[in-house]
Amino acid sequence: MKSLLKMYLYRLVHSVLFWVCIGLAVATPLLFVSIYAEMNAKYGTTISIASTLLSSIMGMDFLSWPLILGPAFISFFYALEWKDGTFRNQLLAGKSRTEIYLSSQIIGLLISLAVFVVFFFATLLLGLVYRMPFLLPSENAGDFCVSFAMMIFLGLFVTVVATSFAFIVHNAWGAFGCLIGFSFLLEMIMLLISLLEFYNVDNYYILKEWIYTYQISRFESLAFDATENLEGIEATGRTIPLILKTLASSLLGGGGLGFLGWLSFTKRDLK
Amino acid sequence: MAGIVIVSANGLSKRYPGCLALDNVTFAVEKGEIVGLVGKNGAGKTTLIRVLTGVVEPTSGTYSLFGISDPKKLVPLRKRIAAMVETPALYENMTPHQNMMTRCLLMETPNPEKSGYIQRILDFVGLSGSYNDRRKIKNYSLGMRQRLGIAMAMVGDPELMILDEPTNGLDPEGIKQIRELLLKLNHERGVTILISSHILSELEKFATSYLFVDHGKLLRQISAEDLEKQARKSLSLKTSDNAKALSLLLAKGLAASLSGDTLLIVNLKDPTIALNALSEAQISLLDMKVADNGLEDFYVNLVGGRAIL
Repeated sequence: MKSLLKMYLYRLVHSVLFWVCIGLAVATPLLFVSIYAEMNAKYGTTISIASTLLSSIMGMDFLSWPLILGPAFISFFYALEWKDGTFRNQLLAGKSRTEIYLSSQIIGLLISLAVFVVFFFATLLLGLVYRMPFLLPSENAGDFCVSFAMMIFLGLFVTVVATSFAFIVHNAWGAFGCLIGFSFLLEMIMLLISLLEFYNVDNYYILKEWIYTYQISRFESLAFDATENLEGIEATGRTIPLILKTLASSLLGGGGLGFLGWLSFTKRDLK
Repeated sequence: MAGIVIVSANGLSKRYPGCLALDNVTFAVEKGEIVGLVGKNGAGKTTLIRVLTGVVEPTSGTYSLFGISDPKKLVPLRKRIAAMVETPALYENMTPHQNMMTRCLLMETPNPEKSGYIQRILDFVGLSGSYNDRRKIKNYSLGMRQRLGIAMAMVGDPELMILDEPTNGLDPEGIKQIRELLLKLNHERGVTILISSHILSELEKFATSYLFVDHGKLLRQISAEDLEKQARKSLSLKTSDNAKALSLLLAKGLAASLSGDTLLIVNLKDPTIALNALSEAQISLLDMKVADNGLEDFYVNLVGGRAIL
């Protein structure tokens, strides 16, 4: 598997699209800053760039990038293997299909983490320039760290789902479409639960805690919102059940789709 | 060296929806052989190659590589095989050097750049200039891709090469170069080669045996030596009395058969024996064709069902 990982990493660093993704991850905080700086200059507004940057981190805006960029890139990255028929080179290097699939999942996670880290550090770096307040009030630090960890965990869950779809659907747009469709389906389920909630508030809202889009929104609001004058977190008293459900649903969902991806790759004829 | 079976198939079948691509194929390839896989389009050649390379799973039957048939044990053995199935599997958005690097990384070749390994292989296949070429594969001609596909297949010093139409898109000089390259690999390194090609005249120049495939079935496995005996001297005749001529020729111990109004005589050491016998019996010849002496005719006769098997 080591040679497979090395080969994929080699492919990755020679992929123009990957560097475009990394470039976008760097460019986004720069874009935020330049937009707000221009607004301040042009319209005399007093938007604090430092607060905006802090909001990017504390409000976890940066997570939306790995959630979109990483999986989108993954869909294209593995679609090329299908298109060029290069999976057979890997088979002919004495690698089993399971090894190939697991390596692809690992590389997928690394891709998302790379985009994640680059955005985060680009924002921090700009924060240094604009003297962003880095210290969190101690009473919020714990919740922030938990939320941060859970958001990364959810980002990785989405990545596993994206890689799995890339092995089920052998087409970049198809795989990415499936990922979007998957999120859309969950949103629809959320809507249904909301309708049930309308009639029976106490019993049904808890069901939403199993859905990752809801989990993301909860962890976002649980995190520190810097733009609102460093106000405290919104406490619901359901943090522990939410964490447990997030872990369980991600492991079940990611594991299930991951298994389907593996099944599809190992049982199907290749090009 | 001969006698060690490198590839064998036993009752191998592959069914696609609505099509039996391989039908109970059984054969064996021995070490050091160059086996030509002959068949028309859709005969099952590529499917056979895809099964042997693990790209597709057989529906039934078994096959072995280097004497091993356990599917789990076959996986690491594939490292000893080089294969090119249909078109070469190349990353279109990478340069030739980068493609070679991916293959070297997969095959765990130590220091492929510093040791000059990649350059040597590229030189070997006539792509010396490609080492520093910044062009991506998508901008390469089919012939250059074929050469690069062979170069990639050579990484790791394979013991068995399975090549599907490797001379597709090559100019006559390129075809000759590939043939010489394969012969060199076979003679110098003892590489066993299973190769499919539509250019039968080319295959005839270096194959040591043949597998004839049609409609997914293996029609015949024959050595080049036996093929020469069978295919080179055959006559198809039309006479004034075919029935009398047939019994006469059979009485003379010749391998004659009647197909419609044509008498086919194969495996003739000397065609004049048959002609003299007919002349002595005063049977007139209305038409005579000496079968073109080659693989192509043998194949056509075989597929047409006119060869005596």
